[in-house]
Amino acid sequence: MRKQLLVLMTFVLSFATAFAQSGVVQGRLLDAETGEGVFGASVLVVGTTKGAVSDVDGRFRIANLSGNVTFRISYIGYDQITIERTVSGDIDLGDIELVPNVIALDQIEVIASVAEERKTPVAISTIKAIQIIERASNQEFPELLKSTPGVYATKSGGGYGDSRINLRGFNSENVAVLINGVPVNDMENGRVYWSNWAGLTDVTQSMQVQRGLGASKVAVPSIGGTINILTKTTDAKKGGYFSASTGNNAYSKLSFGLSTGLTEEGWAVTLSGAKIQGDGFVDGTWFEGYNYFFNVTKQINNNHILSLTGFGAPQKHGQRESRANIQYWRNAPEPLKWNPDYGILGGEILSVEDNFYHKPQFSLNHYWTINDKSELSTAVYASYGTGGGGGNLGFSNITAPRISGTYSPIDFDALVAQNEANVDGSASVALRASRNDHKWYGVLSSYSNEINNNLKLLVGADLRWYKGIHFREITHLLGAEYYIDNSDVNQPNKAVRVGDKYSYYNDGIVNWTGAFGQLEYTKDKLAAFFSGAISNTGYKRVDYFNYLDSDPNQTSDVQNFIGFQTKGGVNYNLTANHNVFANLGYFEKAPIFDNVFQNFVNDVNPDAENEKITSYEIGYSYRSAVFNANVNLYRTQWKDRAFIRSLRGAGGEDFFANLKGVNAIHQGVEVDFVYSPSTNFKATGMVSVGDWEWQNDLLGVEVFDGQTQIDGPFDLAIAGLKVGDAAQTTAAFGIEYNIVPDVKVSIDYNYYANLYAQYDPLTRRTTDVGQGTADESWKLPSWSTIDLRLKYDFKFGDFDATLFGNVNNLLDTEYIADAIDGSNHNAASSSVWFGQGRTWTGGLRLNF
Amino acid sequence: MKYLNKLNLVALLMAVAIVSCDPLEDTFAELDANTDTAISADMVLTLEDDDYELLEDAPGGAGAAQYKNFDSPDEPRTLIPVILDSKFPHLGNGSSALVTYDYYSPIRVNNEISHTVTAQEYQDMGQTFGNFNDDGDIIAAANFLYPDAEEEDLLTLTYDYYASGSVSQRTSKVARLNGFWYISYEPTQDDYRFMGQAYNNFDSRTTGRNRMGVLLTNKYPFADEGDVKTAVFTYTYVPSGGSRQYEDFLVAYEFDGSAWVGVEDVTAQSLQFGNEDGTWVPDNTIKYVLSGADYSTIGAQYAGTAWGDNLNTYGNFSRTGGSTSWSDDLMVEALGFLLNSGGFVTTDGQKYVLTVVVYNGATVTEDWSLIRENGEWVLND
Repeated sequence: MRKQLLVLMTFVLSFATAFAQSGVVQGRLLDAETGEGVFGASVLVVGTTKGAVSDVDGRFRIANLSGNVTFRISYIGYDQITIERTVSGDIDLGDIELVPNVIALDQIEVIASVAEERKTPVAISTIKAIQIIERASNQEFPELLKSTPGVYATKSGGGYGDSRINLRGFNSENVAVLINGVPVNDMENGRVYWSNWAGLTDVTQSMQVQRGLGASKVAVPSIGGTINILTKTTDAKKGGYFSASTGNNAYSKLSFGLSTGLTEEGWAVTLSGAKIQGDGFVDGTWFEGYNYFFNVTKQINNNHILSLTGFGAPQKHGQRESRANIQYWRNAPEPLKWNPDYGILGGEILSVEDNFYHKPQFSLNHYWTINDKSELSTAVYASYGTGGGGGNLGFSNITAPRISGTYSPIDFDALVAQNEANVDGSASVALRASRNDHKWYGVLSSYSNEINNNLKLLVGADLRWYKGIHFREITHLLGAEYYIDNSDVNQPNKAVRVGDKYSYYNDGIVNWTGAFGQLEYTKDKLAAFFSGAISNTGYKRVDYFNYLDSDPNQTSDVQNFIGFQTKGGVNYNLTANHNVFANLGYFEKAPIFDNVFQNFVNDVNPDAENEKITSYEIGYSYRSAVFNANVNLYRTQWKDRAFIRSLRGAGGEDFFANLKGVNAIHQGVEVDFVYSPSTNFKATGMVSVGDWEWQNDLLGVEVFDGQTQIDGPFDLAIAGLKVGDAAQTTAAFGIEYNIVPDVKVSIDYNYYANLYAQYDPLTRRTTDVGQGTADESWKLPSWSTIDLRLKYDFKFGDFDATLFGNVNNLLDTEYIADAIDGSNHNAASSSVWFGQGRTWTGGLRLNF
Repeated sequence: MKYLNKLNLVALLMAVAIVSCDPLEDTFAELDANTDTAISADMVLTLEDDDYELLEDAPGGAGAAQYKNFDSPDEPRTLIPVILDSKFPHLGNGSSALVTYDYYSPIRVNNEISHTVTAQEYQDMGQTFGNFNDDGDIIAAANFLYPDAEEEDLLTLTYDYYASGSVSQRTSKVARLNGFWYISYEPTQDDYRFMGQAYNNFDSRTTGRNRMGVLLTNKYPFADEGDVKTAVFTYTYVPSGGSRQYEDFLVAYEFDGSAWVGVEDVTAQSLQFGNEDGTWVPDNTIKYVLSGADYSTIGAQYAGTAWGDNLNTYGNFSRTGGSTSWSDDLMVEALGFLLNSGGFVTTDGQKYVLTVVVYNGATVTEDWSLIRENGEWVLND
């Protein structure tokens, strides 16, 4: 397999050589608004394999041309232009103006720290709107990135929005996600809930993966990398679209978009919306989702732009949470589709495990061009999350009565009967939801000043206030009148009904104060930066159930932690085609909320420590009009990974053992390329080979509380164990081919290997001190999938119409992409989900 | 040339894809090999006449085949596996069978002893008045006089009894059953008439046992469930070629809550068998899935600990290894606590396989095998 990939690589690379002819054409691309050089634009000679990419000043040069030549110049955010010339000897096309098609894109890119090729010294992959529209169908953000290096994305249980992504072997707690520059990782546990954004692919303009340290100036948990999503901003042109699609398992989607364009009075409004619903490939994973987006921009004058953006994607969907061993799934009549987590009540489907969430985000951005040298960009934002996940109360999905045997839905009517047998009308079984609401306000402001032609200074502030509201509520009483809950000390033996809080109710309040600064040096072929960010995280916990209202301990003291990051890098453009870069960074990440407050009460873990991350990386890139390639080598060391155990102290009190000194190392090589010798053919590919391991054992650990030994001695035998939960080797190849100009067929091939089942290193504990051996967790079989896409562009009356179709997992391959390691570290003992079988979508899009 | 190359690319991709299109084939094969292709089943069954007849040619099985029951403790342990093998040849490792069978264990008088309590013996027993004055004295005398008595021995004891201000001589038939002495009920002449007998005896043991049960239920209706009583009636028969015989016939009764029910000669008993690598072996393992109430029982015991509170919140055992996690040791301790909390068999050697719902990142079940040794529940490896 790997050999075949190699053959393919060599084969594609051999196209990179140019052919010798005569005559040189050169020119300079300028932004029509700012007059600055446009860097990185593609200048293609139509009908040939020749072309160039503009340099930092916007200059390009193409040699060996003759006769009638058509140049096609394109770059994201600008209208494409075509120039025809007859070449007989050298020609200078002079200054060519490119007209931006999006308002304030530059400014939002600065706020969002979007990285630029051949300038920002980090490893990046960018996916643009057109690729997203072609692929999105029933794919979500994580899966759109599956063909980029370092990325491992799965659909997890298969529910709508339940996908996950790992970058360079790190899970979402260590991958920063920014939407328009605003960090969206949960402020308490650092995780990313993609279901908050399910459907938002529709309004995405670009999605950039910055692997490793990333380009973000604000402090973010970018250990694995940063995913930088830019939504649409404001279209400069009037227009719109309407799209309808359908797919497997009653999938349907309707969407529209409208833009007024920039009016003479300086106003621009963009609106879009969509409705998505379906039954889901997996049984009981029905979904209903919407998304909306609006932007109102006012260009006050040449110096001030004010822009209000709002978007959200409310959804509810059935989930599959239960994992089980392989044999359990195999015994099911439909192993890939079976889901034990839903049932039937009165003939209607009722999910035990479901999820509902709505997190609108509003941002008011002000862009102020102070003078030729300096700008101030400020985003004031607010976001409100409402929703949670459903689950069982008083019964277990595994042992619940079923309608007809193991592989049939839960018999809710039997559970209702069980409640009805209670003479007092109380519920012994019910459905509940664990709510995780929040309010989040922030300001992100950055000021830039060009000190001289070579040096630019950027400073800014990052202020956030966050309140997470956590509680459980009853969602369905299953025929009973109330449920008796005894977890609120303020109201013992409380009868709770649908919508009432029970079990727990607490707030997590996070205060974040951050500042950052960056110096950028650009001279000729060299670009360098150095940046630093410091932040104080203040955590406070309010517990309404475990403490009496009269108890001052109901609200904890504020616990403060200082985190910081420093990073620097250099890019050097060797020639117009070759460049090399290197970056280096060190940062300390404040412990997450749950590691500060443990046991779900206001007990503070006094020894919670910052995690320490060192990362360095070198990269090489090749750019030409027809062939681009990148090679990156990285090494990230993660020290003092937080391992916390809660124990009973000598006097019976709670006590925390902070096991320090557990380190992990993630290193690897990533190669990717795009080869596009003509306008009707494109090949892309990537290979990522990672070597991610736990570095050391902890030997003879003894835990003391004062003089009393509480635990141990034990060994944590993990040295050399492979990190689990993400495939260490991934590869992807894609071909796009226009059979005729308006019909494009695309094939994507993805390969995954060296995936080890997920495990918690803390469980690799042995009391045979010095004798412990580290057993590798189960290594899953490698697998590959093929996706097929078809696109047909045509005129439909006055509309530009596109008919598109996608088939994912074309060969209906059975594979396992998610596994939790079992006691015997083998296939039989692991708990898994099977991946999805063949799915499809098709539809029509009308642009006007 | 270029076009051909594109075709090559496509062909290569397709070839790669087709080669690797069944990634789980080896895993499935490995799983199938592990399970030995044996089918396993958990069965509950009662042996029928046909089943006993399967033992006709088995060593030591002729009697069971003829009488459709077993009559020594070893027989069911050695012979039921023969029946299971014969009936279910396709079942293999991991199977279990809870088999109910008929066991012939008649109560028959073992040694008949007659004794009159002497003055010296009253004195030795601490009976300073030289007589007994309640039933307890009679039981105590039997224990004192015959400490080495065997099961189903029948002692006819003659003694002086003080009642209502005077001492009279009385005789009681005291029977040894299950390690205890019982003063047996002896029907009077009126009782025999009440039971429809013209003479003071029965010529059918079955009729005698049944009618004595009705009599006892009439006379002693206020017993507690599980109470045991013995009775002795006269059984008469004429052996072939001999003269009429009269003998004491011992019967035992157990109160079932509403009536005294005679212990039959043949009783239904159950034995658990497990299949280990193709061989059926007697096993007392009880498979049990924890109920919601069981989680509450354990949760209440461990309330206040991080893991106990977690259990109370989620209704399952956290096994993530984190701060609220139940260690292996804690699991054994908690499940042992549950097994001791009532309603479970707590004799030494009893084995349980408990299915518990745990959360280890996913909600799954774990099976815990426990055995009771020296009064403690320990892991049964």
